[in-house]
Amino acid sequence: MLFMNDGVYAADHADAPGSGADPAADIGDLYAWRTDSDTLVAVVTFAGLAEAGAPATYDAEVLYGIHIDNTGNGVANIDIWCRFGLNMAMEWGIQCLNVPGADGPVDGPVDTTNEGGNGTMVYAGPRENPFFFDFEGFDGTLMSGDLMFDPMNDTFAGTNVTAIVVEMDAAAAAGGGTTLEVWTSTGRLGAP
Amino acid sequence: MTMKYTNKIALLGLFAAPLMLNACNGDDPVEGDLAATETGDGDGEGEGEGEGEGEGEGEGEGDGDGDGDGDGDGEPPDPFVYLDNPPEDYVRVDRGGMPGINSAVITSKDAYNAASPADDANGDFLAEITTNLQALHAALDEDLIFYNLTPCVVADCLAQAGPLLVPDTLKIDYAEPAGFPNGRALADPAMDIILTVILLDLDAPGQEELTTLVGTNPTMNDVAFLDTFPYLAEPN
Repeated sequence: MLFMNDGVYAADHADAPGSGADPAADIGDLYAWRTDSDTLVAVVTFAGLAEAGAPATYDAEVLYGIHIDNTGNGVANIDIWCRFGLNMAMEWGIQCLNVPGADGPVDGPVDTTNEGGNGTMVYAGPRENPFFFDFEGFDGTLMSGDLMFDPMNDTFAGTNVTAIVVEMDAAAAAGGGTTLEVWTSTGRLGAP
Repeated sequence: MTMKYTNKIALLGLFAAPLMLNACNGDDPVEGDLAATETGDGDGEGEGEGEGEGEGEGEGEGDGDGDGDGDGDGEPPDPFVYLDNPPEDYVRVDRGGMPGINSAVITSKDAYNAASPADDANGDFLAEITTNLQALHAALDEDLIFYNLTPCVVADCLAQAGPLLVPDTLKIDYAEPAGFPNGRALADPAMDIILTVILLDLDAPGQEELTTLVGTNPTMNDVAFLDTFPYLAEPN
């Protein structure tokens, strides 16, 4: 099992760079954890397997969702919506709406920690790919039907992603309870 | 782990087709250009209102009109402009919570990406997950046994992995110790835990822990994460 989106994109990328893929909307990984300071951090990575030094991938027409269900019915109670936008100087900014605990929309330049009040923060920018996995071994396992994983081979070492990192109020995210489920989505503006 | 090279192409056939589909998923992206142009014209209209359009009109000669909000360098404020279309205006491209599930045990990827965790919980994708797990076990059980591991019977795999993988979300319980599968921190060996849950019989002696297969893949990132926001390491 275990085709990572990252890896699939990697294989595709290696075969035919740029053809048919939508890196800005291609989710790599989602992380979400509670910190010791009563915040919840959510990380969405996309545009995976970018080479060292490659620019980040920003696209104003992609909508990034971080969804939180805190009532256990599979329906989001909180939808954090993030978008990229440009200014007149053609610099990119990041805006996230509905960040639990924030005073309002949180926005500001990419590559910057943007504060939204009550300890909330939003960052977007190019980062080292946090995912570690032997994708070649996985691929080989599926091809051959034999276990071929190599714990020394991190396919994603040395590569970058573009990431959105949102730190929010943990209690607000959970709606006052203690359990929640988090997922992410991407959408592209326009008709299918 | 180890390497043996025999050919069992069954799995390849099963997974290759969805792989290709997934690869061709997106629209064609000349996304840099697209993004820039669209932002340029689409936005002047709707967005500027709340956020200081008034100051913006000054066009750099605004010093004299004394609105007092400038930063003193004579340049107008230059706010970022974001689209404000409602979510319904966007066509879903991708979704997920658990690592690997979307592209791994799901065959009908377009339908899956367009669906929701409620659909997952409703069992919409259970049949194909089961089929893919069966194929996986048919191919790998022999190897697992060779390494003195006890594979789960597919029905049992589903029973033990189901609550973790379906719906496709990260589950978090503040009242329990953190660490995948209770949330997912950057350093958690999530993939090997998922491998354990879908491949091994968690009732068999010596492999009750979700971490039994941790070490099959790298157990840590190649560079250290940051202790503070934004936590991910600097780009390469």
